[in-house]
Amino acid sequence: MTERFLHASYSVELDPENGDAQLAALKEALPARQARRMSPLGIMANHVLERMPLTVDTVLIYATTYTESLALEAFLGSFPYPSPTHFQTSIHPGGIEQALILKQQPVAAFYPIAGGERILEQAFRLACEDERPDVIVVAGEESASWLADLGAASRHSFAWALHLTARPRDARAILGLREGNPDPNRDGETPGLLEFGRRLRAREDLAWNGPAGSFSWKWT
Amino acid sequence: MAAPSSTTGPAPAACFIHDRDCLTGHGNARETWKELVAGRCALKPAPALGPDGGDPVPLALRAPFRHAAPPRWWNDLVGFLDPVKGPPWGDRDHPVLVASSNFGIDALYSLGKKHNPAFIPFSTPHGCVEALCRELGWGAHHYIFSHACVSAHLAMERAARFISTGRARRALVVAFDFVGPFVSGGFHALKILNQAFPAPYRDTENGSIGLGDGAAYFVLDREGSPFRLGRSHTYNEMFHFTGNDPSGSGFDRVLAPHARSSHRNGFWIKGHGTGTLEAGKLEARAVDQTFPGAPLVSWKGSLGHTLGSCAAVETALALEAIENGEIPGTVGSGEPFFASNVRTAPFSPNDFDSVLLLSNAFGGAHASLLLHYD
Repeated sequence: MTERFLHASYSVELDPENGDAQLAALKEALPARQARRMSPLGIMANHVLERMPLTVDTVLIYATTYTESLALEAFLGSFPYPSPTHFQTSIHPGGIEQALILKQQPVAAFYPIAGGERILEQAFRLACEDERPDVIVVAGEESASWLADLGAASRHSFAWALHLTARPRDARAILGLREGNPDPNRDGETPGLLEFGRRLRAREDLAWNGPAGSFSWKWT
Repeated sequence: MAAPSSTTGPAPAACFIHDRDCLTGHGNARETWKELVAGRCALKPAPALGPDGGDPVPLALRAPFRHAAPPRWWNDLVGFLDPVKGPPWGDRDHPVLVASSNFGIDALYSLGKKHNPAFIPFSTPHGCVEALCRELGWGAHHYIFSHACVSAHLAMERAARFISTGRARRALVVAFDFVGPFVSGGFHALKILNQAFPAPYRDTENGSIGLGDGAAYFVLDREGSPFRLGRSHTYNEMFHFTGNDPSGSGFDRVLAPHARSSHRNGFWIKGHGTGTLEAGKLEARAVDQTFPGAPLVSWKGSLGHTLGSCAAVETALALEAIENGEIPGTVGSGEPFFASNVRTAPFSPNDFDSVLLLSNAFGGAHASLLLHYD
């Protein structure tokens, strides 16, 4: 069993009815000039990263299935005169890069991943098998319009971040990975990024099987 | 300069490259190597938006752009990956690590144009990779990396980590990026695609690039082969969205650790060499200062920039060149160069025992990988 210990977490999810106001409130804390060019996902990523002890030596894993969906829509809408700004913003992993550039925070080890239903366990597997002491996992999506209608973007805007370490002392939760055959006692479905963020806020335990092992998330 | 941060990859004692190949505008690895040695260029003028017109830009394509589902390159890629189809890939002990910057983004462009739902399955990274897994019979144990033009480097580094820590028996790295109107239109909007053919690097004040189709695969194993992966280093400046820190510190961060290795005088260098003026200057000068005299080559002037696949494509070509006893020089460029160690003529790999492979990307991302050969 490989274990990683949670020392900090933070999560935000925009209310579909009131998302613009929530986003505007998050923006207020940022320099106006930079904030004007940031995507909703970039602003949320910046917000959750504020609570994380990120340094140049932290391993940073960034998980997003759809990345900058609004920028993608805007870029596609700009043809036949493609917009350089929307092109830059639409490139994976633009959301978290906006936050890191705003902070002028370099990172040595940065792993952006772009999976589907199993993206959470891909992120957790990378976190568990990394021997370096501090890992921050950031995940998020931003709600889009016509791409979401076609199933090519999220309908929800959210972000969360976890600080995972190899230090059990004072841990708030434990992420476990048991490699090998599926554990019959862990029959839960793999949570998606949105659902995990909600479970995180509710402090719920989780257990599920993946293709390369069994995962558990247990609050202390 | 401050001591580099913890960018070091796993102890590389037990990770070797076995089966591998690549695909470019020239052909497979063998065909491409021959073209590079001959100094030939695959870049040709093509409309930036394909069937929808646009300025001619330098592209090295395997087939012309068209609106199609599956994408125009799908059967090409599936056929190329035939040697690694089916089990055990994707099972518990045999992860598949897929890297790309754009996946099926041209399907998203077509979706926006044609509103045809047939494009939807290919239009997202995970949709595209899951379709590939189904087509090739791979299991669910796969990872999808997307970090612009260092994507393939990350997949190779993590695959090596799986192998060297004993968490996988073998690992398959697959990288691909095929150009479409979304990407060529975007790069042209950034004003870095050169319309002054044929040389993308030469005779232009600002430096400029071409784009190319690219794909590659590698099988990594603990068992011996002539090619052993060495140390890998990455650094992400986060200075600017597209540009590098003008001090060149990001390049130094991934080069300096290799200067302290025992192979300092034993390698040649496959540079990233995109062709943009500032990045080209910074890379060439950093390499020259850190490794004076070590031959530096770049092949993007022939292949075009194959974006998220470039680290894997150019690694496969480096291995092909070593096996065939002749390293192609820099193609598609001419003097004056930014540093004296840029080589334009082919040379022998036998004077060295390693190659240092470099990649860069938007966000000031930098990566280096040392590869040893017998």
